[in-house]
Amino acid sequence: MERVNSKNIIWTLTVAAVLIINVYPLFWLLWGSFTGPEGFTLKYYAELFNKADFGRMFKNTWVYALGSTLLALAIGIPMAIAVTRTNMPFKNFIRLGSTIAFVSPPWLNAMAYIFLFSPNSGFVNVFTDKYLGFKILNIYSMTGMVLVSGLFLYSYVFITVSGYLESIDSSYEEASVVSGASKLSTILRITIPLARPSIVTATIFSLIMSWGMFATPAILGIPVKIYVFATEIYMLLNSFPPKIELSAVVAVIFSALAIFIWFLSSKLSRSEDIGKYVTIGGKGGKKIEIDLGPYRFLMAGGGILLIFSALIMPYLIVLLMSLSKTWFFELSWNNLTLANYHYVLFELSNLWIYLKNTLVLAVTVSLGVIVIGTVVSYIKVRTRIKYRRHLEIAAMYTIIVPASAFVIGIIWTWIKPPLVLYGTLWLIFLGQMSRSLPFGVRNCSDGFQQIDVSLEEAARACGSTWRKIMTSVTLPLMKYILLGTFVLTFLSSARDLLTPLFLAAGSAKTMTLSVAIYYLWGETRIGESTALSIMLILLTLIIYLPLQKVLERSTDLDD
Amino acid sequence: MTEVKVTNLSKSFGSFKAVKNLSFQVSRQEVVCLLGPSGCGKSTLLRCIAGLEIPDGGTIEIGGEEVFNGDSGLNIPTESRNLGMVFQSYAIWPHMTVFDNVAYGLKVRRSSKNEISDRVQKALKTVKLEGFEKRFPSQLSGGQQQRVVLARCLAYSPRLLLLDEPLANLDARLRDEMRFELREIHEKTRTTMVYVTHDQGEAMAISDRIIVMNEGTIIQIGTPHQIFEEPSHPFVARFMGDNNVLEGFVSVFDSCTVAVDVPGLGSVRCRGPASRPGSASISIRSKHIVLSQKRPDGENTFKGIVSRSVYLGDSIEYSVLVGETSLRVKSLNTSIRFMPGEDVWVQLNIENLRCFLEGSDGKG
Repeated sequence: MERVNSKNIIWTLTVAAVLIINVYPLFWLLWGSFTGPEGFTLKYYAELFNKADFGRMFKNTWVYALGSTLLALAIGIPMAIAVTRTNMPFKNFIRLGSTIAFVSPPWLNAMAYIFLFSPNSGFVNVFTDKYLGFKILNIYSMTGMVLVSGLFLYSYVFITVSGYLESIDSSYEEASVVSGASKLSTILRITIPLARPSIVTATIFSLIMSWGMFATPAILGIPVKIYVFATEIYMLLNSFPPKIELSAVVAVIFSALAIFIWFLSSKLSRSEDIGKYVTIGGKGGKKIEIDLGPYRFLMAGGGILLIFSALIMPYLIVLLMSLSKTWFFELSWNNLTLANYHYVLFELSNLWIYLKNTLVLAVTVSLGVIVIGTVVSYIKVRTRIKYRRHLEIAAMYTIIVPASAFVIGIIWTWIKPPLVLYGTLWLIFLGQMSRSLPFGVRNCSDGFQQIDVSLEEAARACGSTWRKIMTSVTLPLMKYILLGTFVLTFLSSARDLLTPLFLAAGSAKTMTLSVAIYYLWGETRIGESTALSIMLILLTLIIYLPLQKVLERSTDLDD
Repeated sequence: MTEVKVTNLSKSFGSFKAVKNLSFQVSRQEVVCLLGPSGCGKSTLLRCIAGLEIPDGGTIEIGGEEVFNGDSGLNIPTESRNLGMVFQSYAIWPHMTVFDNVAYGLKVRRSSKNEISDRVQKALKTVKLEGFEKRFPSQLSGGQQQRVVLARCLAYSPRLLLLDEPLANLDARLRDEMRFELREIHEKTRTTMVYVTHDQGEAMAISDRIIVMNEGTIIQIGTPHQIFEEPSHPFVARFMGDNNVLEGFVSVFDSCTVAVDVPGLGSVRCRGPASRPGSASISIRSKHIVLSQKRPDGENTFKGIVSRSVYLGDSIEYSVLVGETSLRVKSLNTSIRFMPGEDVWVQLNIENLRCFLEGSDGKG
C-alpha cells in the first residue's frame, strides 16, 4: 500500500546489515565447531573435553564469574539504594564516580592493583612485609582477579539498579510508611522487591559480562596460568598452529550457556513485568529519603572509599607509573620523568596509525550504530511490519552472547573466500558493531517511545511526506538521544581491547591504541604502556566532556 | 454540497471490530460531532477519514474525490488528503517556535515567504495569539497551545478539519470558553469540521449535527435539539444526560397509546402506537418527574419513598424508590424539600415520556 520507495530501500538495507553483522557470524560459529575436513564431526568437542586442563578452565571461569558478580552485587545494590532512597551525603560524588568507573578502560584497575599487590614488589605488600612480617595479597591469583573485576562490575550493577529505582515513583514507599511500616522495613518489604527485575537483570548481565571480560584475567591470570574462558580462547587462537576449531567449540559452549541462563532468568523475573512498575514522569520527582541517622556517614565513608579504590586511586597510580623512571614507583622527585611520554609520542613508530585506527573505528562504529539503531527501533516502535519483533531480536541478542565468543564467529565468517576481511579494519568494525548495536537499538527505542506518535501524525495531516517528517520532526526531536548514543558507543569503541586484539591478526596496520597498550604491557614496558593509557583517557575526555555539557543542557530544555 | 461521504466503512483490530459497516455524510461548512462513550469507535472512524488507519472495507470520499476504496485498493495517503487535524495531545512540535509550527503546512506546500508570513499572521489572529510567534510551546499555557494547534491547521486552509477530543486536556473553565471560541472560529472560516468527543455538552455547543455512536455503529444522527429532545434509542436517552430509562413489556396497545408494564414499578401509559406486544423501554428526564405529598390527579402516579435528598442550590436532587425501581428526580422547586424516608407520590407525565419499542427504530 505504501508508495514510498525510499522507505522500502532503507528497510531492506537495514535488515541486510543486521543479518550480516549479527546473525551470519553465529551460523559460521556453529559451522566451525561442528565441521572438519571430512564434513560434520563432533571430534573437536571430544578433543576439547579430553584436554587435560579443560575441566580446570571451566571451573575457573565459573569461580571467576560468580565471584566477580557476587562482589559487584554486594557493593552495587546497597550503594544504589543508599543513593536513590536515603539521606546519605556525597550522593552526587558517588553517582558520578561510578559512571566514570563504568566507562573507564578495563585494564587500568588491573595495572594499578599490580602496583599495590604484586607479590614481591607491590607497594602495599613490601610495606606490610617490612613492618608486619606478612604480605596481604598476591594479585596474580583468582582472588586478585575477582577483586579487580568486582570493583569494575559493581558500577554496572549500580547504574542498572539506581536507574531503575529513579524511575519508580516513591509513592509506593510513602504508602508503606503511611501504613505504619518503619523506613528500614519499607526498604526490605517494598524497595528491594520493587527493584527485583533490575537486580535479576544486573545479575545475569554481570555474569555474561564477566565471561566476556578479557583485560583483567589476561593481565592478572595469564602470567600465573590461571585461564578462564576469554583468555583460553585467546591462547587457542595464539597457539601454533592456531586451534581455531577448538576456540569455536569453547565459544559455542559458553554462548549456549549464556543464552540458557538468560532464558532461565527471564522466566524467573517474568520479564514482561519489568515495565509494570515504571511510571512515566517520575523523573526528578521527589523521592522518599530514609534517615540513616549517624550511619549515613558510615555509608558515605564506604561510598567514598569505593570510588577511591575503584576509580581515583587507580587513575592516580597509573598516572604515577607513567611518570616513573623505574618499574615501581619510589616516593622521590628524582624518579619522576617524562621519558615515557617522549617515547610514546616520538619513538613509537606506529603511534599515528594506532591513533587513526582508534578514531576511525570509534567514529564509524558510532555512526553505524545510530543509523542502524534508529531504523531498527523505528521499525519496532512505529510500524506494524511483519517480523519486526524478529528483527529486534536479531539486532539485540548479541547482548547475551559473551563478547569473546562472538568474535570467534566473526573470524570464522570472514577468514575465507569469497570475502576475506580477516586482517582488515572492517573486521574490527563489524565486531564492534555487533557489540554496540543492542545498546543503540535500546536507546533509540526509548527515544521513539518518548516521542508521542501524534507529533508525526500531525505532520502527515499537514501534508508532509514521510521523508520530510523524519527530517523536520522525528530526527530533530531525537537528536540528543542520538548524540548520547554516539558518545557512549564512541567511548566503548575507543577503550575496547578484546575486539581489536582478537581480530587485528597481530598486524600493526590494524592495531588500535588499546592493543598497543596491551602489547607494551606484555613486553613489560610499564611506563610506556601506562603513558599511552593516560593519553587514551585524555583523548576520550577531550571528546566526551564538551558533548557531556550539551547533553546536560538538553535535559534542562525538556522541562 | 457533500464534503465527506463515508459508505459501509469497517475497521477491525485483530478480532475486535472497532467500526462496523458505517455510512454517513457531512455537508460543506458543517460541523458534525461523533459522540459516544470511550471505545465506541469514534476516534478510529476519524483516523480512517484522516488516513492514519487503513479501513478493512468501504469507501471514503472527501470533497467529491474518493480517497479510500476497499474494493479497488485505492488509498490516498494522509499527506495528500489536504486535511487539518487536531489531536487530543496537541502534538505541537516542541522543537519549533509558534511561528514554525503554524507555518509548517505552508512550508510543506512550498508557499512563498510572503504568503507564509501573511497566512501565519492571519491564522494567529483568528485564534487570538498575535505576538506569540517567537515563543516555544513549552512557554505557553494549555489553552494557548490548543490555539496554536488550531492556527496550525487553519493556516493552509484545508478543506476539512478533523478534531480528536481537542478539549479533553483543558480544565473545565477553559473548556467551556474554548467551546464558544471554536464555534466563533468556525463562523469566521466556515471550514468543514468533524469533531470527536465523549462529552455531550461539548457536542451540543459546537455541532450542527451530532452522530451518536456505540460499539462501532451509528445509533442516531440529528441536530443537537433532535438528539436531546427526541432520542430514537434508549442508548441515546441514557447517554444524553439525566434520563431515567425503565425496561418493561408492552401489555396493552391501541392506535395512540401504549401501556408498558415495568417490573417492580407498575403499568405506565405512554404515547405512541404499537402494532404488537414485546419489550419496550421508557425514558423520562429527571426534571420532568413531579413529586407531591398527596396523590395527584391523572395517570401514571406511583407511591414511593425518598431514599436520598441532596440540596444543590438551584435544585434538589432526589432518589425515589418506587417498588424496586429507583428513580432520579430533579426538583426545581426548592421551597419544598422531602427528606429521606418520607413517602411521596411520583407522577410521570405522559407528555414527557418517550417509549422505545424493541425491534423498531423507535420512531414508529
